[in-house]
Amino acid sequence: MRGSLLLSRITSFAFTVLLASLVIFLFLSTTNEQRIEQVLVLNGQQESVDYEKYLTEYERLYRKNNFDKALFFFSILPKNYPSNVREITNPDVRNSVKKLLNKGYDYRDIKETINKLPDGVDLNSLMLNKQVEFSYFPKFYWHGFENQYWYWIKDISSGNFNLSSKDGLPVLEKIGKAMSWTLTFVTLNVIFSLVLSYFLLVSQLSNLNSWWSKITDNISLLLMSIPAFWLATLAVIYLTNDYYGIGIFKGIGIWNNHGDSVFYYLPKLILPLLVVVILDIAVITKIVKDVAIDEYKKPYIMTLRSKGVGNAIIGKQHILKNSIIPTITVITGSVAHALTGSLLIEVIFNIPGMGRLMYDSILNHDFNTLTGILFISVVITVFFYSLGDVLYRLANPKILIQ
Amino acid sequence: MKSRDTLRVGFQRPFGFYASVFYLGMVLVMAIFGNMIANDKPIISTEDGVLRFPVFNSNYQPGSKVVEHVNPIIPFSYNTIDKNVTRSVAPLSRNQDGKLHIMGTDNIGRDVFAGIIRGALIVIKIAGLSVFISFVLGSFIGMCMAYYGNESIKLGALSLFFLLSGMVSWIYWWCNYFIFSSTISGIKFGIGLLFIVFVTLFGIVVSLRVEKNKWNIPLDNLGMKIVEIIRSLPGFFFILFTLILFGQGSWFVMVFLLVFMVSPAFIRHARANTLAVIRENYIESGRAIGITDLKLILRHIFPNILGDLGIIALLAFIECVMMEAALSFLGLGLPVDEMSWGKILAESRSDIRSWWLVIFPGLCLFFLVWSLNYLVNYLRKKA
Repeated sequence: MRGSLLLSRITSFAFTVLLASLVIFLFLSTTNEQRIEQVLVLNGQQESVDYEKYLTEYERLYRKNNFDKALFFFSILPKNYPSNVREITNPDVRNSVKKLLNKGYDYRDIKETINKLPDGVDLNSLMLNKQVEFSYFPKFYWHGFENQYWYWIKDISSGNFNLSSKDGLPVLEKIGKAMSWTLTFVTLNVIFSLVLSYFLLVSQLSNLNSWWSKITDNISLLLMSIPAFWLATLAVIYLTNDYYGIGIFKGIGIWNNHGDSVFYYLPKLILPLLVVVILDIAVITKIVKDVAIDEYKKPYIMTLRSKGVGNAIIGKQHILKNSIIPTITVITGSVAHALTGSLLIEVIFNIPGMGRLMYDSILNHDFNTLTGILFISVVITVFFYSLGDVLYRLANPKILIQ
Repeated sequence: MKSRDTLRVGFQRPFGFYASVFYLGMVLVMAIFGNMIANDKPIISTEDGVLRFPVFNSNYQPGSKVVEHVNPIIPFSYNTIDKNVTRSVAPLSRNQDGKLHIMGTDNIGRDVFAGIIRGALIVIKIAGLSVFISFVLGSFIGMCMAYYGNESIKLGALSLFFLLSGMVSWIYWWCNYFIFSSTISGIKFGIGLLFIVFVTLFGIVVSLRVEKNKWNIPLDNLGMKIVEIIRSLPGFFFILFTLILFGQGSWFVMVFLLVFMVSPAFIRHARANTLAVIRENYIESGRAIGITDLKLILRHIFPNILGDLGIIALLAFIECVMMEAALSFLGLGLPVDEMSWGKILAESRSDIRSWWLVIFPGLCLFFLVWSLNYLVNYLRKKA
């Protein structure tokens, strides 16, 4: 039974990652030409300075990145569309051919015209009144393994995420550096919030009707409603400078990521951790207490009371244990979401983690890095969800028997 | 005693309930009448003796004599730029015309209060629209999944072929219109879509009658698998990636993405609640007297699960509001000339001295989320 559970989890993990990779690749492929131009700009090639050199470099990169191959294993295209328009390496010719094809012209005619094309003549003017009848009718092509998606998958599975178009560094290296920060931050976040909310829960669960329990209930409802980025912005504005006279945490933000170890910067993580941990504790205690209210109504509590077991032990050993089981998936899910959800916190407090890298690459239109981050975070979050599911089933054997 | 209790029942709810309902009503009023509360044009005026309502239609004839009768309470609209302002102006200060900025201005001189009123409209528009769409779609899909289960729907090879090819040609036709072809006119496109739907449905119906060997379609399992996949993906990163590629400043893409994010919750809860309801006797009786499936789902199952779905709708609303604010805070999503609470918040980061840019919109957002959370909590405890 357990073996089959693990197997089904693994297959669904693989399936989800494969599906996500398809979507990511589809997104990425819309930026092909933009990415080549970015690399050319990075190498100092300018279209206006030396067009011939620019063009040869463009065509070299175009072939090197396999952009002349088909997109996927198969394609369904309109009748007049040939499957090999991508093989035209000259961007201007390719775009005008595409324009003509969109108007419904036959590709054979276009090809003849291109071969005969003298310099400086507009392609549009030569191609009049040669439209194909019912050009929108579909046609199926099979391309086999010589396609961009296959090459991309092979690259990614060997850890090659291409180069960043912002600074030319390997994407994997950048992600690795950012990942160490995010992992440090998230680990500290999860440890602190779990430990603190454990003690908070133990103090409340012995009597849900006590004043302490009611007050914390209301406070956690208030804290749950605070948007994390608002609290973070408030903290940055009031607590990090002397303008309002309460600058306790000065020198926030990690500007220099060279040389010094993570531990050198740990004090700077105090304020962001404070913000995140407070909000997380509110959410975790609220979820567990919602379950605990139902748990108190069950008959085994009455049995315990009739045996003379005290409130403290009932709360700590029975209620807490039984209320945590349904929340395991929530907690592992929140770990997964902390990895991606810390984007705003990282942007506001200037921590050079994954979220900050994502934000920077969005601003720079750095699509290789974006894709790398997206793919890796898909793998991580899906992994944590599967882990949560397995843990949940192991912690609650009732489900395994069903 | 009992009659007195029933008489007083309307006022026996806790204070927080009234506070949150009042605040939600206020946001709704701000969204609906925002144009009349904050605007740089008068509400009622006369132009050469003719009554005009410039808030709705502002163009005066040149050279005509205009008399303003009723002005809005706040004499700025959300995109009025105060040209005298060099940096953000503090609350309760007047500009050179003597007009009062109640909550100050932002860094380029737009009134914050007017922006906040506009932000209410944005919240209702984006979050309300996406929650509504995902409520309708998600709960219908979830109810169907639970109602039909894994064994009710049977398709043969031919009908399966019609279904799949219909789906593929549907996608192809949309792609053809938007990517490949500029030769197809809108009418041709519409006729094509209808044709595909008609042929697919006709093919399925006919082949269902003809075919002998049929396979079970595990509708429930398939749907749950898809829901699990969507839930386990890093949604925020996907939204950012999609927005940067296709939809910067597009309402349509934003709402579409939010619907995609939120509807799995509706599907899951509609399915779970339907599974509980479907065992009841009246469903079986309904089947026995020959009520159609659709009517059974909409008239008899849906009203019974509406209460739980309402709570999910409130939670989804919170998620949408937070997501929209976060995206605006990052400077993505909404069109550039729009104003929203997240956008005002984002401006506070460039000038640490202007506390009013972070306090007021943040409080609005916080109260909104708190009222929704409170209502969820209250309704859950009551149920």
